[in-house]
Amino acid sequence: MKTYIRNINQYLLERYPTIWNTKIVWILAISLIIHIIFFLFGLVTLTNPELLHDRGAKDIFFDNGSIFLSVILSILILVFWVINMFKNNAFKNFYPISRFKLFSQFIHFFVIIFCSTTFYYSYNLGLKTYISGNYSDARFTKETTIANKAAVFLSHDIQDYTVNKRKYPANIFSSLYCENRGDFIDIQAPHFTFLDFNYQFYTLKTKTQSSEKAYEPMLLAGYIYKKTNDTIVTYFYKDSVINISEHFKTTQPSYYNYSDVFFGTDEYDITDLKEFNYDSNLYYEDYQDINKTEAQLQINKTAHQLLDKNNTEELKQLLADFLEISDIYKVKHNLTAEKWFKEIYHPGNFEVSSLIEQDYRVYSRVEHSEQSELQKYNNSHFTDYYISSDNLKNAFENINEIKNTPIISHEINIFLWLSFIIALILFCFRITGLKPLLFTIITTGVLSIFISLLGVLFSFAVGGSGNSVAFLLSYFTFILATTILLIPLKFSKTIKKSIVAICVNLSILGFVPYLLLIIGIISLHQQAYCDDIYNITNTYKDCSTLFDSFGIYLSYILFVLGFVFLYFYTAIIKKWKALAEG
Amino acid sequence: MLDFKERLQDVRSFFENDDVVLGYRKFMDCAIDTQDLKIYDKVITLTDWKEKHPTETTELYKKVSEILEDLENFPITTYNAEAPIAKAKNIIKSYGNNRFSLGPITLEIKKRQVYGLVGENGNGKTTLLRVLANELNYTEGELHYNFDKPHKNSFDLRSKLVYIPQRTQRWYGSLKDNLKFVLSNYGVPPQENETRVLMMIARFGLWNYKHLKWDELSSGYKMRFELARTLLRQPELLLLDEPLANLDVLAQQVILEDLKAICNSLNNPIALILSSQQLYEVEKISDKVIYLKNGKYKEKDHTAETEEEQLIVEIDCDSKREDLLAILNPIALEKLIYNGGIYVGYFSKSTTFSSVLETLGTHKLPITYVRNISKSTRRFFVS
Repeated sequence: MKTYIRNINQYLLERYPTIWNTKIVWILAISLIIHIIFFLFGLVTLTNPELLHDRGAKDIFFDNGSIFLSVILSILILVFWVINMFKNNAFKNFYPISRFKLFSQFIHFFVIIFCSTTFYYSYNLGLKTYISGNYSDARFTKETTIANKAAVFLSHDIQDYTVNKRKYPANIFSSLYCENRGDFIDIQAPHFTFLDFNYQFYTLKTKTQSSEKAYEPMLLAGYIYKKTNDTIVTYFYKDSVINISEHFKTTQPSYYNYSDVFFGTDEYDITDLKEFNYDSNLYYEDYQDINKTEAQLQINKTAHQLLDKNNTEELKQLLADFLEISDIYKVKHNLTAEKWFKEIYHPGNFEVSSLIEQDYRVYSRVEHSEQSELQKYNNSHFTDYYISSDNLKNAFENINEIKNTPIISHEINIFLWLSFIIALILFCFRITGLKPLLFTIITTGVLSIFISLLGVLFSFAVGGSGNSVAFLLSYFTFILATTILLIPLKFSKTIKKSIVAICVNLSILGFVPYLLLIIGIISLHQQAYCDDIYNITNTYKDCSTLFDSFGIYLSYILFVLGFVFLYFYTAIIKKWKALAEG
Repeated sequence: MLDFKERLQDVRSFFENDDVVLGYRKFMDCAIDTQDLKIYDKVITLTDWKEKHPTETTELYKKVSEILEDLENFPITTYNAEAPIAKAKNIIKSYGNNRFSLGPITLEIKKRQVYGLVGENGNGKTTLLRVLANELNYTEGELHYNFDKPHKNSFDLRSKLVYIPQRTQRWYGSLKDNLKFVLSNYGVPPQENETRVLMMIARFGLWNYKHLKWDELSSGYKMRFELARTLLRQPELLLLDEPLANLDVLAQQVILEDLKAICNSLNNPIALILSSQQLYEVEKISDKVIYLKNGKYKEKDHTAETEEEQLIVEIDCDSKREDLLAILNPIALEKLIYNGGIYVGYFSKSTTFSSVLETLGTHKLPITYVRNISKSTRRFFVS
């Protein structure tokens, strides 16, 4: 092995001195091994389905200590690499070096750091590979279908079975609104009652307005909810009470009313987005709700078909299948299909007469005088049966999330920039040495303090006007940064080499922030212009600044520009290195 | 200057006089002049054999002779080193008002010449070297380089000006790998890299040290490594600051001989400037001695006749001044000064060194040594 390593080293040394010097081959080999280990870790992490019971299993890397292992290994690799890489420096010794070779050193640094700090991805790939392999689409669809069908009978919460949950048939219920806020019930008009709850159905009327127009309270106040479709906003208002008792077999909680989606994907149509407005109600603030109307309708419809069929064997089989799935996912319960069936089977109107706990109940439910009607009802209807169905729900959600979340998404920016910055610092150290780098850090600190003080002083002088301070500081920083950038380019021969070194370092490290500053200044102007327009005409205008236009892609653009700049800047670096001192 | 055939003959005579060490070094210099990898391979194999059989000198000479026969037929073109490769005109380096100032200095530096830079501490030796190496800016004057391969940019020029400071930088890894790294950076084809490096290792007597690291080498071998590294870079101008510091007398001699040999290559000569405190040793190998005093300089050409013809003799003896005056006055002694335990006598033009020796011998004075320093910069130190 030792001979093999030595032979490869000699091969690289004679042919590719930069590759030999940066040790990229060995560090990438070590990183690859660790990536494989992390992949294997990821592969075995979720073999116990109990780990899927809590939400956010996708991010288990951050919860089970893998992140610490990853960080420690990254640090160890990078330290080991830096020690070995710093042993030789062709540039420092004035060996002939082309601009491309110098730039390729930086690329090596970047690739090494990036590969040594991204074990997170291999781990997640392991997780995804295991989940995708073990929970195939067919199996997952089958299990979730059974679960959604059987979830009707979970009987955890009586309020899931009240009349206001009814969605089927759609032609009746989709055009109605069920009011269940006590203060808004017209007792004289037809309504349903369960315990101390009242339910009253209303027909709806609508008003529409272009989404580009501002909300006009005088015209539109009092709506129940609104939907936005393209450029039209439709506001829904309660119209008149309607009596729909002929559509209910019973007004008491029934399995016929259940429409909750046990497991559904989060995908929804924008037209389904209901924005509720309870501005006339003191209890609620505005909130948004993802209305899974279609999915709820299907659940309710399936429940109706199942109950109408009244096939005991089919029902028992459904419950047995659900319990089997629960066992596979190690979901705790004390049910059998027979016992469960006994609790739920009330042919005819299929009223809910007993409730099942979510978790094993340690203490018995005790009644006392201050309890609400609902609590009293719960006390008298909860059985000793329990099934932790939420855990199964979470497991499904976790599996779905892991299967469908791409391994690489925009958070890769963090790793890219982290690697880029560390690579830049190492590069600066390698070309200018430790002392100029330390002085660069000190200079950055001093300049930052100076700019901050200037900001404080100016804001004190002008009385704290935010925009003018922002403009002053931006332009001052811009002028300062431009001067620093120009020194190595134009005045390197007239200024001391050590000072030029600091400017070279600041230019290398600060070029991307410099671009960001320019975009920031442009955006500031855009925003100021927009504000001016608003102040003059009092009409709302779309104020998208340059920052908004680029969005997340700004990060990628700056990243590429950072590399391009460094390639061209290698000429200046070489020029600086050749400068005489004194 | 000896031509190639004479050099080969020189090698033979060294071996015939049993001066194997020096003979072998000269033999390798001839081999290096061929720039032929096949010859290099033969010498490398022979060096390996030599290190394993250090006592078998007869067999070694036999093997050397075989290679020498091959060398006989090699067409070696002698490089014409007449044109100066660096010209400094009235260079002044000032560190500020009322502070040390070097120059004005005017110099012409030619290949195949060794320039010895001498002077007391703080008189600008390192400053001058660093100015010539483009490490330090000069305040006034002109400095031009005229290398065979013109430089493309300022970095390229710096990579051609090889300057070895007094305190050489630490290096890491094995000696051989560091040398190979030089060649691969200079774009030497991979198949030539090993051979050229081993040839240089052999030339500088580093054969048994090639796998050692920096901290495993003595000061002398570190300097040899630096020279090997430098030579692999094939510089046209080499600037050395105090290369003899920290070296014992033997190591000093070896390094100086090597430097002279490097300079004196037939087809790849180098211009060499070195500073040192070892006056006699430096003067011995230098073609020109540059003496710096308070930043001003005096150039002394060994080859040309000097203007001063006064006889100056350095005498180390325990006798009293009066006794010496009494003895030496009859042979036209003009001045006798006592300097740090040593007398320096200034005689008239007519006095010869042999007459001084004769007088001292006749009077049987307890003399440790006597040296004629009329042409040595030593006279500047003692005056």
